Amino acid sequence: MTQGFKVVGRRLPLVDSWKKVTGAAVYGDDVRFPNTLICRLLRSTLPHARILRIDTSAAEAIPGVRAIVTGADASARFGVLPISQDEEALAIEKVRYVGDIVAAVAADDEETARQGVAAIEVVYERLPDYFDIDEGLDPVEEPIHAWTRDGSNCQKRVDQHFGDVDAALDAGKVKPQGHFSFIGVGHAFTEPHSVTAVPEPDGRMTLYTPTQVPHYVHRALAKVLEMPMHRIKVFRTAVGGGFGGKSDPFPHEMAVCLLARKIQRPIRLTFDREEIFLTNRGRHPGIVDVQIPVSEDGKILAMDVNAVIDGGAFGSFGVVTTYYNGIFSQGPYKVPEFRYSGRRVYTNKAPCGAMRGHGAVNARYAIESVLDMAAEELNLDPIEMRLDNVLEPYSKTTNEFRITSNGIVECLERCRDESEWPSKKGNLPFGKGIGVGCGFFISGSALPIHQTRTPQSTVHLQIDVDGGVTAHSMGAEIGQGSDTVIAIAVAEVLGLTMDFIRVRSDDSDTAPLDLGAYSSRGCFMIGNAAREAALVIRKKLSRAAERLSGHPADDFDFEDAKLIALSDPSIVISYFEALTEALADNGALIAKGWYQSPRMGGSFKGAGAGLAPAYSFNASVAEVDVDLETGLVTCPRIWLAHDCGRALNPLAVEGQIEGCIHMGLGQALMEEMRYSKGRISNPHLLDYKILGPFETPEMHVLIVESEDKEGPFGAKESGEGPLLPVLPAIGNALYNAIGYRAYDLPIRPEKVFAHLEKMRKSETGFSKTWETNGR
Amino acid sequence: MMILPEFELLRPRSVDEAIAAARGASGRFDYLAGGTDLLCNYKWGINTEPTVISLRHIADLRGRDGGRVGGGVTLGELERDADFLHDYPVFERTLDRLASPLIRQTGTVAGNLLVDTRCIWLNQSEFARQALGNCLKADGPECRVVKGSTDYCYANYSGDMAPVFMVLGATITLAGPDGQRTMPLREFFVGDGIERFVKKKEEIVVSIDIPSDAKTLRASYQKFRVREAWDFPELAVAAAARMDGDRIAELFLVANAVSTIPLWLDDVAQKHVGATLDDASIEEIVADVMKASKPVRATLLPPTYRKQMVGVMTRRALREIRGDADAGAQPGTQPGTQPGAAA
Repeated sequence: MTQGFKVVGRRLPLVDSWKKVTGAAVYGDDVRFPNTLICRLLRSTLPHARILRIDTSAAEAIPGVRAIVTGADASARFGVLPISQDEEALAIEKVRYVGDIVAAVAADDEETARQGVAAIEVVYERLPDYFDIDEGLDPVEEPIHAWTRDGSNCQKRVDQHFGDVDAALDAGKVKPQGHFSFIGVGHAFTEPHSVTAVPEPDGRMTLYTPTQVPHYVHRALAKVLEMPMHRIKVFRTAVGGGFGGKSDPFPHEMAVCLLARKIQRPIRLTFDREEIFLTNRGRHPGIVDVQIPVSEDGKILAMDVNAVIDGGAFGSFGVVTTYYNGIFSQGPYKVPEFRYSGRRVYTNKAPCGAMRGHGAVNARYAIESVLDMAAEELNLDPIEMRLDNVLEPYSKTTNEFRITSNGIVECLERCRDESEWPSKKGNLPFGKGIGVGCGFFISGSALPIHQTRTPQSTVHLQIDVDGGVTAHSMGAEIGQGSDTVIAIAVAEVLGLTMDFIRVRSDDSDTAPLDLGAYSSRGCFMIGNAAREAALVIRKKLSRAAERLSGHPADDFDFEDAKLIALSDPSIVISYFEALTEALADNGALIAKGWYQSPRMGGSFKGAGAGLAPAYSFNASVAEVDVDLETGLVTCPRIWLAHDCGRALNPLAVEGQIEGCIHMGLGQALMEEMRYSKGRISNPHLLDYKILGPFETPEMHVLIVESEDKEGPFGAKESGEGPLLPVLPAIGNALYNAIGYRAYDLPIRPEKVFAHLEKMRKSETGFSKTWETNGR
Repeated sequence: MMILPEFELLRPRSVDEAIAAARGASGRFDYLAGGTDLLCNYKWGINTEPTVISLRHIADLRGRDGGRVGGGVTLGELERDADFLHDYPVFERTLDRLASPLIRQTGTVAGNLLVDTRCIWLNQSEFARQALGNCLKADGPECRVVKGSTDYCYANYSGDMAPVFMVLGATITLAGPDGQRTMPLREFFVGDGIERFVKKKEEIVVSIDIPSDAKTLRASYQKFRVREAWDFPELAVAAAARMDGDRIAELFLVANAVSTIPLWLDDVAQKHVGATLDDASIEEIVADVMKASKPVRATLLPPTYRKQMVGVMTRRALREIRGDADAGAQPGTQPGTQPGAAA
């Protein structure tokens, strides 16, 4: 395809949006089968306890209670990562957090199921509770999991050192450091987890679930149910938001299948909001220490990063998270010397996992804050200093990440120019501030979770006499637009309009393998697989056109449902003429395309973590207003430039970036999962505060296209990376506004107020003394 | 999923029918108006009753005539009532920032007056209350906010309409088995987070009446919370004054959402009658209102901070009454347009 794009780059509604806006989409709780029983779960109200006895007899005696399962019904442990198979469908031997599932009850209706749950008697023996990450690093009396080393609760230790960080620290003109702490935040997606298990007449099991990772759910079900995978079907329903919160196989998915198998009736379970918080898998709370020596001319000499993260009761993605808290320090800047120490500690709290910007968000806030300290100490403009340090396109990082396309310079420059940074920085009154942050994220994890040689994404295409193209994929459409990416790729290659393309991406019986919607892999990997498949079909149609016209097959371009000879535009074969010829004596056209990341990376321990076939880059400039009487901080406007390689669908890219801004601001300004002695004390959306319309700023979304050589039509991710620069842009703007450095998030009005009171009473009063250096 | 517990729903057509239904329920009932407060608590299993008597179909509760507002008038109806807002402009912003537009279409004036007291320990699901430990107001032996309190609940009053009605001198009319009675709204609220008010359980709020001389009061309601929509007040201050030249002839003050009831600060107000509204006088009133407010840890923000914000909100209310164009005037703030200004 040498000509300009016909579909790629157009602003298109997502292909599944019609169903969603009309209410026709079938979400988890819309699934209905005859004779379905309703499930409710008995959850632990204790953080850490040994289960001595479970008596279900009273519950079983309740009319309408049909089946109960407990830990005795499933002995196999599972988890999303093969290296941390530490989860149980229902608690075996002991409970590890308030919310851990102890029993599942199936009954004729929800009220009866609730009564059943209430009637189950559990006798516990209390065990010591561990809520604090510090104490978890040392040996404890009763480790939360028996397999942690040294009798401690530390699940994972990462230690990496490239070069000589200590020498760089000696050499630095300035060496600012910071100790940052972060509270856990949750995904706060709209749709609760809602699953239906259906025992099929032939003994198979089908699970309907709004999941981001049908394949991993499939594997875990096979393990827990002790059934071969081909006897299980996973059907991904429409997903009402995931953000990483639906990217684990979950105990409740196992539990409903166990019930369905036991009673041989469909079982439905829909969570309430509190259960979403109890299931969690949100961003890890923790602490991040960062020190960055910088030379007199503003060059970053090294980064020294130390992170201890609070994993909660189970592993989930936590081993990966432990790496990601450090290794994403490797971009978007050149970091010649690098040291990272990371620890993940089990605690008796709801398990943490992957959340948009997985592992990179908190460390990014710390790094970008410390960089601003360096710029201030050196009297350099923070944007210009960053521009002096960025990675080159098609280069390599110190820890051997292969950098391909890189639009970081344009990202920074456009944010600088469009925000009118030069005229604002240093000129805003006390209480108003402007700040910058950058970000860097994977466009798909190169290393699959299960290290097989099966491609990470495969797409099947099928065309029959009606001319419509059916695409099969298990790429999980969760609202991010992966179905639309498939349709765009196929329509573009075949010169068809979008209405020709039908995407089926929900049924594991018919879909080829795909690893799912996580690590920002969909667009890059599924898009490439879809494009490859479409190119196979294109070849078949070109050959048919050659047979019809005598003109060489490789000289046809595809446009407007026509095949037009490039060297002689008078030779035109319609798409349907070519298709009819291609189907003759042959039948439906079938093709597959697949994507597998190239081999790359170093050979040191942990070298695979963070590798990606491409990386996204971004920058943000934010303004904040501080109410000087109350300490409330708001963001009136924000600019965010993101290098997504190429925007296959600018409308979708903008939506993703706006969502990232909203989510990033939420974590910066108000979101927090509060705990009281291990119990979540705000498990509902009134007290867990996401930004409302009044708090949502004017957003200036700037798309930067670096045209990645390996991305589909040049594209890279845009779903997670844009969250990264938001938090530090706010933190740095707040410092610029009032001289207050937020070392912990969210930014609390009472702390800002205390700072303001101190300043008000000081000799300088409300003046920006820190901005006067050299100006 | 979260389902409502089972209850019998009665739908009387008149106040008398409703009271008769209440008497028939032997105390085990709740009245339901908009339901935006009650049904949330029911879903969480907080003090549920087997009988719910809906007041939505009683026409007598729905009207507005001059300063008389029927208890069943929805907040949305009042918000769109241009004549009412013209007479009592303080309600414009009070209503505009109360709950959310959706809730205001259903929630009623009486419902907001009677909104149940709230607390971070109380407003939780049954499971959470069990895990966190039950509190005095729901099935527990002692208050979780003030440990050791076995006979006094510290849950926070969280309505927005009552303090404004109070500073305007409104009365409340109740109908009950023994007929109707009317009292100043400031005498209506009493007691702890469980007792809350003098209304007997069977009594129904028929109307709130604002005296016509309240039209010449200058009033302000300043509410503070993290989000400008949805959130209940973390604290608020209502103030109204009648000026005689540059002197305060009459002053009415309520510190709201810092106690179990809206605090009618009569002593503070009386003390400053005759003063001017210059900055120094305002600061004296601010100090007195802060002193009279003793918030406890029943809401998300720390009590000491909330107390400090009571001062800020008092200052803003008095500045607005003084006629400052920009009552929150400080560099870095733009009250009225900036959500963070918490006006």
